[in-house]
Amino acid sequence: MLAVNALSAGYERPVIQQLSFEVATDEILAVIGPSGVGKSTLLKALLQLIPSSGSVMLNGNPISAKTHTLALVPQDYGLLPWQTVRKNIGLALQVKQHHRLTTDQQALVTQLMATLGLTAIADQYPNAISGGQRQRVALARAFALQPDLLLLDEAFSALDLGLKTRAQQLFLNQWYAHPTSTLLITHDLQEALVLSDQLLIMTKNGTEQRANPLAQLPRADRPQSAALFAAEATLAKEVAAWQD
Amino acid sequence: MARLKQLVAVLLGLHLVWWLAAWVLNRPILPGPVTVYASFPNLLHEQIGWHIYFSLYRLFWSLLIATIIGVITGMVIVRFPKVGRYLDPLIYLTYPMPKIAFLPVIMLLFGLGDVSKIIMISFIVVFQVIISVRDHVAAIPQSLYQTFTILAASRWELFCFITWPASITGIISALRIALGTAIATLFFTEVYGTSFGLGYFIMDAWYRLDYPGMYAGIIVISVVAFALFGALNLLERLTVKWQKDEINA
Repeated sequence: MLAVNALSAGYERPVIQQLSFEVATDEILAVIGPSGVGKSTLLKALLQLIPSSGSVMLNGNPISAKTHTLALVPQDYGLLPWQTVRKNIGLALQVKQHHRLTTDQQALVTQLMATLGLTAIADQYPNAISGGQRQRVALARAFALQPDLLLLDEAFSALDLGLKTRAQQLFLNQWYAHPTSTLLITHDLQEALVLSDQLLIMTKNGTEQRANPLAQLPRADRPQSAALFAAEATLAKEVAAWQD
Repeated sequence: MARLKQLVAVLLGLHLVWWLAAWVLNRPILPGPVTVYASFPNLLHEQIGWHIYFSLYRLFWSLLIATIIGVITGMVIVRFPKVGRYLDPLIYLTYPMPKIAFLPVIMLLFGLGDVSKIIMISFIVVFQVIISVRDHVAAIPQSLYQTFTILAASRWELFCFITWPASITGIISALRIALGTAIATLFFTEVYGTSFGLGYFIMDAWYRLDYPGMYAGIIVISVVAFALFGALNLLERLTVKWQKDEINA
């Protein structure tokens, strides 16, 4: 479980002030809000990439890259252009474990590539594959780590609608198989409603954590639900009102 | 095959212009292609092989030294910003200086032999390597480092898996630019304290008013440079496989 208490962070002036929220081990929390509100700053603060104050506990201990396994899927996917798809997935695991992949881990990488439809491009370089495929490689790399905390930073934003729906479905299938505390940072309200259990709404005037109004519906049914559009419209109005 | 055809077309065009210019000028200072190529057998008597060897020897060491210093400095500027803040202005301040003006000082300190020639060429091209490597390392997306930093990757691992591979293209493109400058500088440095090297060969032919021999030397230096550029392209193809077949996705 991720427990954030009174977190403040920023560069010259604090962008995030006294922020508190929790994400259970089998939960996806969507962090939504307009651009420039501090979503990426929150992510960097959680990962200790920038100085911050307050406490961030993961599974009962202060969050640390050394003691926890953290996985990040950034907006540009963060793939190494000079490594093949297979090596991009395996290398993260190798760095985390400080040793070469065992046979079991190699099998895990192969299985993840099969699940996410990457087997045919295993030996290709990221520059030679499509954006949708790159996104799935980044997801495979994150899942291969079997992380304590998974962070998705606008990970579906660069995909067009058809690819996005497929990528979200593949992500959910894999996530259900190995659920973990997950933070989904997005500016897309529909994506937040489809994927998350809870919402953290960030605006310039404050933040609020609340249950996803669609939490009662299975995630797979949400995209077809009329309630999705109603909830999205309501949420959009609320965020806009908060912003003013 | 298409590239070979383009090369042949360019060479034919160049020779045609040369032949026309020689015909119009009609003076010994610009002999035509036929006269120059007729003097090629003499090159063997004049030990052209040794001249090429000494020029390549000086080029190799000067480029190697410039690359080692340039790559380390370029990386340090970006990866250690506290040091970079002092190095960056220093580089920009000294880069535009006409370094060849320091030749007398270098000759005085390091003599007239190969050492002063190698140091002079390195001194001139090192700035191009520093700036190219610095720009390539600075252009590495932060997301690459972040993805590995949160996996508790050491500085060495970040260097091996990210900084070094990202710099290779920068090093090769820097070498490509530096090679042209290095050959031009080599010519200057081979006019003193030596009786071997392509620079010496060309100047010696000029002093003897052997214009066909002088142009033959210029052709040889161009062919050597062309071969070196080809070798760099081959090196790039072998080391930067991942840049091929890029698609718009």
